[in-house]
Amino acid sequence: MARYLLGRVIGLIGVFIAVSIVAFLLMHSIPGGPFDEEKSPLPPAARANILRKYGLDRPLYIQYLRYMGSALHGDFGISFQNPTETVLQTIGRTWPVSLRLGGLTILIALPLGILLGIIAAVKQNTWIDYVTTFVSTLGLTVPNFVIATWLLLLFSVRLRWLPTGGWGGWKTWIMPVTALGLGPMALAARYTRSSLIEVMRADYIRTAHAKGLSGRRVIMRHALKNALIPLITILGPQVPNLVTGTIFVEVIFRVPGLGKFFVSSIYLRDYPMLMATMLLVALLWSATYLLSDILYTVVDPRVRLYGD
Amino acid sequence: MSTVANTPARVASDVQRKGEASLWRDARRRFFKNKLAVAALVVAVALILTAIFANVIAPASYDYSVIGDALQFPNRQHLLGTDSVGRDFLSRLIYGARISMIVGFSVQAIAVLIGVSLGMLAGLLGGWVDYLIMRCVEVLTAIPGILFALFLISVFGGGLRNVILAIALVGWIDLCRLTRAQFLTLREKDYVLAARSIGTSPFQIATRHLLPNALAPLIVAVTLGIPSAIFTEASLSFLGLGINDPLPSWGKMVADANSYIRVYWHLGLFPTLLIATTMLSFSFVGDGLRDALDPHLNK
Repeated sequence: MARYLLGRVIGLIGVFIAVSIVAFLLMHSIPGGPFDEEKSPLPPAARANILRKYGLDRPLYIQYLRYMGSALHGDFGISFQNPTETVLQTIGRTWPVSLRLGGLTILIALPLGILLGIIAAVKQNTWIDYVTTFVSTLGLTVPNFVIATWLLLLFSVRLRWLPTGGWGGWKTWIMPVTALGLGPMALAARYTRSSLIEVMRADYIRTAHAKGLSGRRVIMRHALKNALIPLITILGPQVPNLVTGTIFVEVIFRVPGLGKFFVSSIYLRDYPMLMATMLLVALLWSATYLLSDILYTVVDPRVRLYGD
Repeated sequence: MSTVANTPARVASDVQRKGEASLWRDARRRFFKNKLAVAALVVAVALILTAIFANVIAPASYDYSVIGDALQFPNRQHLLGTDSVGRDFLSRLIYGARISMIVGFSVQAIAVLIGVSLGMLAGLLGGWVDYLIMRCVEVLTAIPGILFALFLISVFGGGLRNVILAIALVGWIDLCRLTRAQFLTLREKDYVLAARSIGTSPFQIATRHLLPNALAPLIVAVTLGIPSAIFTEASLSFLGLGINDPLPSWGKMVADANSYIRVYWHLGLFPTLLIATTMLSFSFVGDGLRDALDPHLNK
């Protein structure tokens, strides 16, 4: 196990370095920077000074090494669009908003999805099952900004129950959380349903029924425990997915989170900010994959990671 | 070539061809029994036809604007109203289908070209080629696809061509993995051993024996890849980082609607309905194909 983990972590670091190099090279391969003539007309000497200050006059590999060196110390430079803040401060300011949005979404969407999945599995081929299937298909295939627009049209424009955007108070949370959560909820419902249906055919379930246990008890105590195992691998990667998902929801509902800030970084070609966000997401993404693999072996002793 | 009857290779390939024919016939029968899939196919075909004949169907051009007619609700002259610069909304939606289909199909074409050939190479050659390709795949999957596409577009700029390239650059990964996995299992089969034993070249084994047998899952993957590419394009354009004005993209139309949505509901409603319809119909066709081509899967 330890050896397997070590191998995985080393692999992760390798991937991480590759991602950072690719991102760094791509960003510096383009003509046009934040201190171009048309954006900020400066005397050549002043421009050279600024370029020197940000280290933009050095050869690329030196810039990269210097960047990664200070990044390891938690210094991601200064955001071009908010020169009064470091990148870390900007992320520290905006990320909690996205985290709260994502966290709320997970807390509501996953249990609800699992519940819907159980109901759909137990009441297979009834109207409840069909409605659940329809909603989960919608949640899985339709972009969340489409769902968000429908929510806006219904609850803000038509019914005038909820504000169209902003971030403050539970009323502003309802629509972003719903738009963001429909996808993960759908996924949880769909997998719980098919996994539970499969488990219900297992021998030990028949045994449990034969012992005379009630249907509810068989499902809650025997079937569900095993049916939820595959969910770990499917839902683990959903966590970082919420990070990218929030981009659209934050833009449409004007939530001042990291996602909205990321989009403005793209418009403004804010290299330090873009680079830091990419590294952050890459780290989060690979870490959750690793974690869900480990969790899988803990929950299901039949699975071995290091055998193969 | 035709004078030589019944060499082992020929018999083998005949048997295989017969097997295939019945596989496809069975699949077609199963697919057309699936009502949802057939209905979805009808909608998808209608959308494709709309895209092809957009210039015939659309009442006006997508970029013809009359400022005086701006922001009209649906009426007799403009069936679905007009947008903020007075362009006929119905026409823009119809041409939007064309953009979506162009993106969906060309992304998949590029993805098949890159993904299937790299997957074949990796699965067939193994060794360092496989290692190199799989590490590339790993690096590309370390970041969510849409984020990578966003990043590429922030570097190289938007526009139809760049959007297609940016999405395709991530879109080949699944096809590559799938082809590789198929090749790894299929190359252990007896008929491959038989083919090899009579001296068939690796290239012929790959194209004549392995690829046809790996075709079914690949077709499903490509079909499901089309809505996913359209999804990504709509998302990029929604952020203003995709298709550029005056070309109509449904995603961008939704974004533009956002500022007017309080009053002009039609600007938000119609493009979102079209995006949803497109995604659902293509996904259901893909699901139907999967069920039809692989009866062992699910159920």
